[in-house]
Amino acid sequence: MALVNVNNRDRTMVFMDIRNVIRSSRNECGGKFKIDFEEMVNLLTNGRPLNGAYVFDSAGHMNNEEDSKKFHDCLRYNGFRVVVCDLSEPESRNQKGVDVAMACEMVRQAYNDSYDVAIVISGDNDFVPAIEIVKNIGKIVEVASFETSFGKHIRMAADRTHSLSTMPIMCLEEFMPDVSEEDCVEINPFEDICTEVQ
Amino acid sequence: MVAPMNTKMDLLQFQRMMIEEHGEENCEFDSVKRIAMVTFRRLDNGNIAGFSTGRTIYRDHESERIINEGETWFCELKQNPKIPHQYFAKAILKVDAGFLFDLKKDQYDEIVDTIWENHRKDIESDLEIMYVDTIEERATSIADERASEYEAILESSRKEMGSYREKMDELGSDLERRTFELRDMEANNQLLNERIHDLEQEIELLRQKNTELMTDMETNRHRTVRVESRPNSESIIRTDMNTIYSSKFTGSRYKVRFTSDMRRMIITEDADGEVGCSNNVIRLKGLNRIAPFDVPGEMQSESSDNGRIVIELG
Repeated sequence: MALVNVNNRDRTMVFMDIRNVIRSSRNECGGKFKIDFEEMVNLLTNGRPLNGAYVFDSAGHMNNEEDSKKFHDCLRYNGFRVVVCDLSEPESRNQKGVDVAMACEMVRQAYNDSYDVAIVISGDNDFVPAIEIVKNIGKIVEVASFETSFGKHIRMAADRTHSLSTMPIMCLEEFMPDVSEEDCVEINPFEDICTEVQ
Repeated sequence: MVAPMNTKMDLLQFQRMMIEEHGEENCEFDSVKRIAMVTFRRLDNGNIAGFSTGRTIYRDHESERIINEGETWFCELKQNPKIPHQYFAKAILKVDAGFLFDLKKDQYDEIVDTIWENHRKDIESDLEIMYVDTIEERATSIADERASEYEAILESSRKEMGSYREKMDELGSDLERRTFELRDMEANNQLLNERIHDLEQEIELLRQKNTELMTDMETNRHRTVRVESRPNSESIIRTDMNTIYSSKFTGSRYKVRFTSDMRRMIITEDADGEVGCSNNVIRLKGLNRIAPFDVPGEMQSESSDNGRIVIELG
């Protein structure tokens, strides 16, 4: 139960650790599903003004660089601000650089008074310090994650939490129409945001 | 007086008659009187001579034309002064086939009649022999001819008959073969008819079964539909594995989303939606994987004010 009330006039800004989200959705769903990121953001903002939606990812996220680039371009086409970090250790599964970039951006935008409410889409406890700083600046922080990936500390640090598990943001891969590479980059944001859930 | 055409007379009489009629009284008659028709033959002594009215007539060597043995000539006779009954003949006109051919028919007939009457005894037997021989020869020749003709006809008929027989044999064996083929076909037809009958029976059974199934399905559908309806919900019917029906599905495209725990499905009318709708029916490929289908029935659902339909998947 959140103590902070929701104000429909609050300016929001979204910060998404996309890799964390995708990995979490794999753990949740058993089958081929895609995440409707746009729907996710809409549900999280719930009608409040959105001043920006940041996506943080590494350059080698997908199978190859080309796929990653297409993926990121799709997100950008739909209005997301994609920040791509080069990994110092490409083979490492830890995206420390990405997390730092996201944390820095959160704090920077908070100091710039770009938002009233930061919506952090990640269950990673590594963001707790940044969240504390943002809250100290006077901003409200909401955290959204899948239940299976929701860190205990970040859940406690947030002013409000959202469970992505109960949000209707998944769609069956079969539902998505067949599109060409070109279409995927320019039109359909979902085709390349494909995570085969094993 | 003119002698009728059919009166027989010898040459002298004829000559006399001509003189009387035409009044020939000059020496021309003497020369006419000396003309006779003589047939010359070889005598025993080797000479060639002819006889006429008791006169022996030898060939005149001064005659321009040569008289040969066996020939008959009109000759002018000259008496031998030394031997009164001997005469010498100067040839005037040869009597041969050509002469005969120049004769008119009645003259020809007269000559033949005269020869027949005067020399019948001599020539009758010869003629008879010749006639018989000739007839026999002719008849034999005709018979042979006819025989060979008939033989040829017979031979050709035999050949024709032979070929007809062969043809008949061929037709016979062909007929036999066709008969066997026909029997086989009849047997096959019989089998096919039986098979068709069996299949028809099978089809009938399947039809009955289908009717029963359709009736059951209809009954189940109606049974499922008769569910106590919620105050703010309209029926969403799941008709098969991947198909849902509702009178609320009036749009052409919908957006379908699931919660990650697969407990809820949200359907929202969206012109850019990925799922099409036709006749109030939405097909969701893969729905069966999320919510396995059992029997057609109503799904728990609620409609929100913003047009979303939330369907509980269990």
